[in-house]
Amino acid sequence: MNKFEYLRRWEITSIYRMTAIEAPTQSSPAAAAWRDWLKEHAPKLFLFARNQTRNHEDAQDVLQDAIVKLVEKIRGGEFVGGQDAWQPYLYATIRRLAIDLSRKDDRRKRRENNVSADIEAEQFEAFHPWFDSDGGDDETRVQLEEALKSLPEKFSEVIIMKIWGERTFAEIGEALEISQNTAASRYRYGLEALKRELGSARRRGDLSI
Amino acid sequence: MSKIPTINEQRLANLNPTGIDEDFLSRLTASAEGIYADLSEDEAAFESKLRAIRPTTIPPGLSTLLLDTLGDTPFAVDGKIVLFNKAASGVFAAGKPKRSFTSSLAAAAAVALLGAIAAFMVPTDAPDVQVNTEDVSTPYKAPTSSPVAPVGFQRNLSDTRDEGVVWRGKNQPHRVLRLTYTDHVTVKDADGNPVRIERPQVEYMIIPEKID
Repeated sequence: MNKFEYLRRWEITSIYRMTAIEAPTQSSPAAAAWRDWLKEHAPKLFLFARNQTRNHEDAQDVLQDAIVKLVEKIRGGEFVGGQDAWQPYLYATIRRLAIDLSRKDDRRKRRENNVSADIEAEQFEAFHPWFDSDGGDDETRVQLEEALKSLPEKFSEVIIMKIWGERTFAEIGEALEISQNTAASRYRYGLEALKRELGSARRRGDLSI
Repeated sequence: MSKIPTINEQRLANLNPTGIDEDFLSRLTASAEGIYADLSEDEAAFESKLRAIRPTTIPPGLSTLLLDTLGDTPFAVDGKIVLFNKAASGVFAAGKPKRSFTSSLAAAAAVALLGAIAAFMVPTDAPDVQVNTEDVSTPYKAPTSSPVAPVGFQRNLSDTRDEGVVWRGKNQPHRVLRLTYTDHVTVKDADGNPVRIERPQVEYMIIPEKID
């Protein structure tokens, strides 16, 4: 079939608008897919944002901004890659936004200079834990959260991305702009430090891990 | 002129750097072998125990906000299949679309656009069909009742992309084409002042795909 024959055939072919592929349901396929995607991945991304910002509200802002940036890129046709590439992009964006926020946000500085606000923030965090208390094992999640917070950020960020974000060292390295081996190295040091932090609680029998 | 080493430099040169410890040597060796990222059994076991503790879900307010943000954003299931929203923007809207003034003008050039696109859509297996800017102009006859008088319309097709094949009912495959273009509309107001309007657009089309 030559080009002109093809074009003639193409002309007589029905052309559908994109809505032609919509499922005959009330909720659109994309909205349902996004909802499922958020349900699965947003908690991991939010945990990472909380680790980066160390503040519940800032983490919400940063996660939302990162999603907005992703959406703009998808809609603008600028995003390279499919669904698999969203998470690496979001981790990198969350981190960059958190760094930007910490540089320009004087709220944090004010908070640091305000003891009562510190106490208030701690109390707030206590009511908004980082981890779910599955099976009533509150002690484990509290100890784990404290241990992660006490780790240097360069270790905790790798641990969170690897364990809960389920990213590979290559992806972590790309998001954090370090080599894969450096990511692996930080992970090992961090894991070891986490073991030590949790060690005493485990010896006391407080932890289920 | 070459430098003559002094006695101090000679003494420094005779000093040897300390050797690296066994752990670091192992790390370097594993890195060289490309196995440093592989976890030991103990590390993997500890990791899986930690992974069993799930992060808390995001606050309901944030969840709603994110869903609103995502709105009518297409969802890429994989590299070839993209889901779209029912309540999408005018570009994707089903049925009889609400037509703005500029889209009415745009409709006048639709045939010309399709012709231009078709000219580039040669049936090959190539995954991407890149087309650089191609101007398609068409004359437009102004409606007499309009308060402004359109005097020109131009549609610049900047990119066409083959987004792959989607499957609909009855096992009928359809090829998805993504068209990016900008409409340039020139109108004159009652005083005869020209106004130029630019409207960037992205449009998707589905064309039944032939199966051999």
